[in-house]
Amino acid sequence: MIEILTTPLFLDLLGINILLGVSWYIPASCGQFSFGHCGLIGIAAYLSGALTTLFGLPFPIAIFVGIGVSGVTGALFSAIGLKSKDIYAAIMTLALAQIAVVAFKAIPATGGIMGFLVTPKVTPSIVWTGVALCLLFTWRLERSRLGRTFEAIKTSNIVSSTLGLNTTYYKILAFGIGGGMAGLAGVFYAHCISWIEPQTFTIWLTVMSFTFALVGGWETMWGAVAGAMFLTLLLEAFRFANIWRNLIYGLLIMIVLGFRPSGLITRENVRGAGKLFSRIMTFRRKKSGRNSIPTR
Amino acid sequence: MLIQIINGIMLGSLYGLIALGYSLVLGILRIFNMVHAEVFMGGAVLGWIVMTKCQLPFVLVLPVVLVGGAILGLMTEFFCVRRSIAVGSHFVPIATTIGFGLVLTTIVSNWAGAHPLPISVPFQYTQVHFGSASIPVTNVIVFFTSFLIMGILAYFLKRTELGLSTRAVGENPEVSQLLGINTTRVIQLTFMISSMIGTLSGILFGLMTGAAHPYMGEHVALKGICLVIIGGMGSMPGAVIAGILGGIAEVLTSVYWSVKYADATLWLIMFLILLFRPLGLMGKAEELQRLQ
Amino acid sequence: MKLDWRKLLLIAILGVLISSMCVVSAIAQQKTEAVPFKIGIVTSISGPGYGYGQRAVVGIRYRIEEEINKAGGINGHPVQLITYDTAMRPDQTAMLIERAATVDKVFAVLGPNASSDVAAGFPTASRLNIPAIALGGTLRGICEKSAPWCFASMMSDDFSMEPLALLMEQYKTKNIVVMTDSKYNYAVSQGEWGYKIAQRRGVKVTHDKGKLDVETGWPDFTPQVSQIKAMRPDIICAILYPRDLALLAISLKRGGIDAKQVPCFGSLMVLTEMIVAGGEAAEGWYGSSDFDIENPDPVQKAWQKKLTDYGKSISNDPAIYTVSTNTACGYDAAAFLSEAMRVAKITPSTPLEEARAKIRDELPKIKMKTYSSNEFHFGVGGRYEKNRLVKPIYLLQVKGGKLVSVGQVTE
Repeated sequence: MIEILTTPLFLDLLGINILLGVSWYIPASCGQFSFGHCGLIGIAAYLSGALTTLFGLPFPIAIFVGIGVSGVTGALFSAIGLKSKDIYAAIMTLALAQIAVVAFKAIPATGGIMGFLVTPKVTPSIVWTGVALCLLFTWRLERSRLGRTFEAIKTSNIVSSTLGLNTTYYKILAFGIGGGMAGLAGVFYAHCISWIEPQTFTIWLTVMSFTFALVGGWETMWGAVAGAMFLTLLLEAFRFANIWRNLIYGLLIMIVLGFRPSGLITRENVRGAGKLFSRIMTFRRKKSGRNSIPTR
Repeated sequence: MLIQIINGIMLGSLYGLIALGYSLVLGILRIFNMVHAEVFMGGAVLGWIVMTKCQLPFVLVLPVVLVGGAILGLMTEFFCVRRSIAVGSHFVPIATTIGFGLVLTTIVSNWAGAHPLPISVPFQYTQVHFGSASIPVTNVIVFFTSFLIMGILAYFLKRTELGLSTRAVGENPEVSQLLGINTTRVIQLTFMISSMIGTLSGILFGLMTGAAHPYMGEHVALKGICLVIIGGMGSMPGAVIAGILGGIAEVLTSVYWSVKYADATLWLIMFLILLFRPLGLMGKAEELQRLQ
Repeated sequence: MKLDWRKLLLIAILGVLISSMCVVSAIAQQKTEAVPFKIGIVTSISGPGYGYGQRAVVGIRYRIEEEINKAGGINGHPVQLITYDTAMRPDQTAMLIERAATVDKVFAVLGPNASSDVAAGFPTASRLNIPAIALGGTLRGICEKSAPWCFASMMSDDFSMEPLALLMEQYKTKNIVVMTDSKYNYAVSQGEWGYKIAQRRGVKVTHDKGKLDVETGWPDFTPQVSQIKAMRPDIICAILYPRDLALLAISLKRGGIDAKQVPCFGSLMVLTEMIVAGGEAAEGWYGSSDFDIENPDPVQKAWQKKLTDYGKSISNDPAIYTVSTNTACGYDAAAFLSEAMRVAKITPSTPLEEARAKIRDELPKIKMKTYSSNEFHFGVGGRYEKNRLVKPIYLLQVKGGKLVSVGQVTE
């Protein structure tokens, strides 16, 4: 098992899954359910793959283009949906996901249905650097004013708009940021798995993203991280039971979310862990402090 | 051209039934019941079990399918939805129902095999003739049965007391409880009826195509939601009409353009509707308010 | 933090799950460390193409376990097969081949089988310098692109469509309809060859190219059948997965087109799954295969019987134990691989890179009689693609619920 964990491929995959979970978590932290993550991931994957393989552009450019286009697309589609109601933004992203797949199939330059090979390969260190940066970004986001605004909107849309917040703007922003992160995941996906075809970016990918985030706990970012790690490890560990793996996955989702809808890690858990951590830290300091207070 | 429109109407009647199943749960409980597609598959598989595996007479299919649907509905309510409704979350049931769907698909495909399971009836090769063209008689039977089921459901919701209680809970759960309606029971009933419609549409589909297989739900899963949106969330006649129109649109696109774009056509229509008339074809403004 | 019973139960379940994960994978690891020669099988054990993968596994296992291991193994060492399930997903395939090569350190990979999996798996195998023998992978030119590391034991698309020309000759056809599955590349590719053959023989295609194409999972073929009826073709050619093909056959029959009157050709896709699901409607359908089911040779018949019995001992699903082209391809791939390993005098202690390079060099040189009176070898280019097993092609027909061989394409 340890051997598998150290394979570059598995490390890449774990990093990408964490990105998927966290990227889904961001619109969710604003109360929005994004169905369209698979489309955003696919757009970034195809675009960056085409740029590096067909046009020979350097990798960093591909990353930025991928993030940018996915972010903008996510924001755009949700904006159209948000004109009316929240739920329609979610449905709009679903439409995006379906239309994206048809678009991928229709472009002959990137192989159409057959898919194509992306030549540059990305090492786990690059992937995990990306993951670390995103986690840092999200952590700062949660604690910032913007993060608190998102939370306010999630708690009550009506009250927030009564208080004068332009809720539509913030929701579009949340989709944009989440979309951008999904784009990063897509770029990494294309350059790790090296083979992308339209069938990969079906709704199942979105299902994976939101199961990571929901099962882990969708109140905090750590929930998405924990959920991604837990479920990816689970899928790997149960590879021997290959025809029953999906059953175990489904059962796990049902059991965890059916009886504990807020997911495994809730805000109280994180706060509790934080308190425990600080208590440990101050305990040591207190001890040494007593000895080092000069007696005069 | 006419024959294709008729084909579309036949398929559309089934799509309308499926959309109705989604619409019932969506309208009353504001939940996307993603396991409906697997319940649909379950109905067809039950039909296969009764007719092909156990070689029992055709008439036994109806009670088995109804009972199966009721059981699946109750399971969905208990395992997937009960706590989430209590907590007030509308996201989480999407994930739990998808999980349940995974469980059902895996069980069926591992037990019965991932290949189609034939459902044959003695009269399946006879045709109904319209002048020069002909339609298989199974399609015609499916068409009339779908409308029969829709009619029964409409009667139930409009005229019976249970139906009225269901609609009341959909409008305002708290006040309904104050008025003495047992909301838990009503929610269970809603899921039961929705699942029964699901299994019935499944067996009808199996009859129409001649086989059931574990992954047949995938095709209709998202399409059902698309059709509900087109028809207008919370409006059941809207779901039916959207279903029929969707069937016609899909068939005509597949014939006159290409099958590749048949699915995308529905999504495009939904996209346009969301842009220009988010309420949908027959949606009512109050429904939309309630969705907040 | 008050711990109520629900939280405790959840934590307990999770704890049990995590510890069972670790225990089980530790045990699984120990098992693999005990046995010598490791060969990986990467096919679709689950998913829509499960029949192809499972049949090939039956063929491989029969060759390795019944014939080789019981006779002492290769160069005195037994062979251990490690199976990986791709579930018909190309990205999984790439990952699994990498895992087989780097983590489990197998000597060679048998598989993948689905053409789209092969398209993803071969470049990975080439990159990792591990020999791979595909059990399918019918796209023309795919072995040549990934030479020298990649081989295939099944014929390519153009050959699998050749029996259509035989049918055209036999029925003196003037026009044809071609329906393919536009979602998967094997079907699109075979459809292309169908159009080429029609052109070659001067048979008219009654519709615009691609007009009738469907996608995997398309539920209701009634509109397509209405279209076909309006076109009145002499031959219907449909390349879809067996499950969709069965549904099409049923739909055609309900629409009044009987496969016993109008020849229907399904290429490699007419298999047991299709017959079981299609029932009566599958009667009369034609298919193609690079394996002769009706070979009168008694040795061959005995081999087929033993293989069927072995398959029955593994599974009671007729789609898995019925001997067909996939079983034969698995058998051939395993036979050629083990022969290459024997000739190159490889032992489990040979360094991995050296062993893999030797297998790669030996494979193209082998000429072997595996199960038929013909002698097979890997093609070296030209009409026969480089690194693909050269085999005869047979025309099959569904008669009485079984596939029988009714013709052979000769050149």
